[in-house]
Amino acid sequence: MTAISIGAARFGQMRHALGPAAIFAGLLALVALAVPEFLGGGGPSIIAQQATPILLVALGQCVVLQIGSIDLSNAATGLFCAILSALTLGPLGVASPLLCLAVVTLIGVGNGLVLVYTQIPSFALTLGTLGVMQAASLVVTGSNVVYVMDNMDVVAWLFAVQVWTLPVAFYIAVLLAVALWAFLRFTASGQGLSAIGYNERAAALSGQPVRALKVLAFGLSGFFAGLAGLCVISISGAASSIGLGSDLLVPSIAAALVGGTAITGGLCNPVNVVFGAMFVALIPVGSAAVGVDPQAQSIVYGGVLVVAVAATMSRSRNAIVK
Amino acid sequence: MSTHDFLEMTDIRKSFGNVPVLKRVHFHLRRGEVHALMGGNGAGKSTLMKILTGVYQKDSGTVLIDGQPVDVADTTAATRAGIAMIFQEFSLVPTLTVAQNIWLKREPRIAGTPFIDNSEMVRQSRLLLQELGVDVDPETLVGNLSVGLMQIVEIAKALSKNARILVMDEPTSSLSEAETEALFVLVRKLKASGITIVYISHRMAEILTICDRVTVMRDGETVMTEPCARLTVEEIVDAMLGAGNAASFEWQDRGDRHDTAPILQVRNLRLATRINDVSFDIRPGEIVGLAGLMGSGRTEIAETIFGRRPALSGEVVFDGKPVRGQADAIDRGIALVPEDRRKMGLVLDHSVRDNILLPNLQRFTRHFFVRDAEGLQTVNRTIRDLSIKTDGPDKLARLLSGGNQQKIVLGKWLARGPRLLILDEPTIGVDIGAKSEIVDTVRRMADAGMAVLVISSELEELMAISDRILVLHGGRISQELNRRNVASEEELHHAIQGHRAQQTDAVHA
Repeated sequence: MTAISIGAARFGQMRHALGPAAIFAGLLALVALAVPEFLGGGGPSIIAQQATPILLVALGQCVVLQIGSIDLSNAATGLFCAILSALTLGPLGVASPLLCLAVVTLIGVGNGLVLVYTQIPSFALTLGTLGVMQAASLVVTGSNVVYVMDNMDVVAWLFAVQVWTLPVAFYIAVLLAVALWAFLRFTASGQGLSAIGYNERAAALSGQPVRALKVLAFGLSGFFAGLAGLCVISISGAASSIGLGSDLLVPSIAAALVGGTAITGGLCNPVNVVFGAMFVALIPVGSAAVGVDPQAQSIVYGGVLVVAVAATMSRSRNAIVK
Repeated sequence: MSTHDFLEMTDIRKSFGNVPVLKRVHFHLRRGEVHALMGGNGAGKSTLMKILTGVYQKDSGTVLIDGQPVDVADTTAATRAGIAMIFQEFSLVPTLTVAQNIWLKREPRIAGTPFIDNSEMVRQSRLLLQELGVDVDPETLVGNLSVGLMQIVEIAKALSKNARILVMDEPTSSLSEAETEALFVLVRKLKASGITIVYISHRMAEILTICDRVTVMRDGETVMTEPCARLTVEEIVDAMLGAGNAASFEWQDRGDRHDTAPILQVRNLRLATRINDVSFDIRPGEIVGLAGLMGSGRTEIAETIFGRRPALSGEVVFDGKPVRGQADAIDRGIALVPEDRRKMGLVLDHSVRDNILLPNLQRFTRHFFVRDAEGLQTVNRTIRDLSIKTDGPDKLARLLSGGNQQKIVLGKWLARGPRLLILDEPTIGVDIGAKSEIVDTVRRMADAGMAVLVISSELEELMAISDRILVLHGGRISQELNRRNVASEEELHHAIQGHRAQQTDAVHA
């Protein structure tokens, strides 16, 4: 038994470590073969731009998934951040993004506090918060598009400045992913988060501050979603409750999963989530490039995602999946 | 033909990859006997039983039942051959009734229709349960039954499939004293009706009580098959360990410590569950046993000392100051090895290293980051000191045997150098080799000044390790016995059942 499980474990580990990069490279190669001008013709830049907000929301999501919970509200919270900063950039300038980030981080912390003190399952709790955030966005904007009137330069550089054809925001997001990886891997809190995801009782009995860590996870989820909101403003100079950034939830969860994050908790590698986000961003761009009917794109999207998650997820044969 | 035993497994070999797990196994059963199968973790017991029940396929060897070769190709074939396994972790559906569980997927139908004949199903179940002499309503939900009764339903289910050989894997590990007695009565009854039973257990006393013969396995081989009547515990242990090193299970008089001030004082503790008024002291270097029936509130006392459970009244004073919550308890040097290591003690999907470091992470954190190298030294030292058998620190805890898993739980706390160690059922499902190593380690730490509180249902273990034994009965400490004055396990057993032992020390007011 031992030999087999070790062999399987090694293989599983390798697949988990390299799977997301490989599957992204595979899809990229496929697209490049079908449309040779894609790589040279600004394709990478478009992918990077699309992937950046997805990646940021996914990074927050993967910390929450790490403790075995889920945050359905973070993408909506991110959009709320975009709207808030579109409204305040003019009057407040540089202070506006900082203030907005603080607000959405606190919204995340609030989620966490309600979770640990009421023990409502995260799925139900954040579904509620999702509704609240969507309504808040509508109310604040009066159902209109909010345009940034002044001080656009505070955020514009994120996507205006390009290094080797890719927007600087993309590099920042990747650096944040690496930082998050180091946090999860090399700090006491990071180890605690993983322990909670696998076995909350054992983590608590080993002296891990379970409640504080859960609040931290939801706070980070709000913070990263806020960064995604700033990207939305930087890209479009405007925000609305149905505009750019209003459809980040599903792609960001998909990015986390393709990146090998276990939806049952305990296992996540933010660096791989980078590939997950690029993969997810590539699907619609790629399928359009190879000539899939736009109306049928969701079929391709859904199918490819399922295959990708199946290929990258680490799971044992007999595990119970919910 | 008459020279054949009922079941003959001859020259069974099995390898996983290049690792031989069963090398040369001969396992013979006589009809209607209770046959103990013993061996340390990794000796090959469960592999052998999985081959018998069709879960695994043997590489070579023969299986004969009644002299006829049997091909146990899968679990269905095993059922057809009359072989059934009573699982340690029960395979019943808690939300179905007893009758529904017994007949699951084989429900009797109303003649000529596809509909289940419920009354027939209940009637047959009632007959079956009556035969077993247990008073269970077939229409009760299984989830409402005690663990002991669930096991009996499992047995009934096996018998309903005409099982002739029952494999029972640690059947008493989660049963109370009374339930164990009831199970033994049932086992004898089954035996009398010609059912053959393979009884896997680590508990020596049980084996000698209930079994006719014993087969001992070691390193993938059967090293001994003998009638129990001819054997002593020492002989069985020697056969399992392969050498004469079972000394740790003999009690050692470690002397009294009346002159040291107590490090733990529990005063008039009252808890929401069952505990009315409990007081006791533990001194540094002392090993105190806490005896009592299952469900008498022992675990709850441990959790209260560890700061996880609030007391209704009374207090826990550690080193002169009351314990304020779990973080405070851990900071000040209290450690708890919980009852269920898989659910509460370990993160099974983390490595040995990460498990050992989990309560120690803060200590290795400098400037926000955990120093891996420093941590690894501690991990390696723990692996060496407790002789944890693992390929390396990065092996998943899940892949280790029960004994080695328990050593990880013990080791992660010992790495903190605790001043009070609470062990809750430390050797459940732990083989004798690892058990004696754990006892040795605890003694060594106690000699160095650590106070120890041991909770155990195994009287043998309490008798072996304790300096003093507290008996919990009726929500209070009914007796406090100096181990020196307890002559036999029998005496302790009586005390736990609520009788007064003849020699008792003063009981705390």
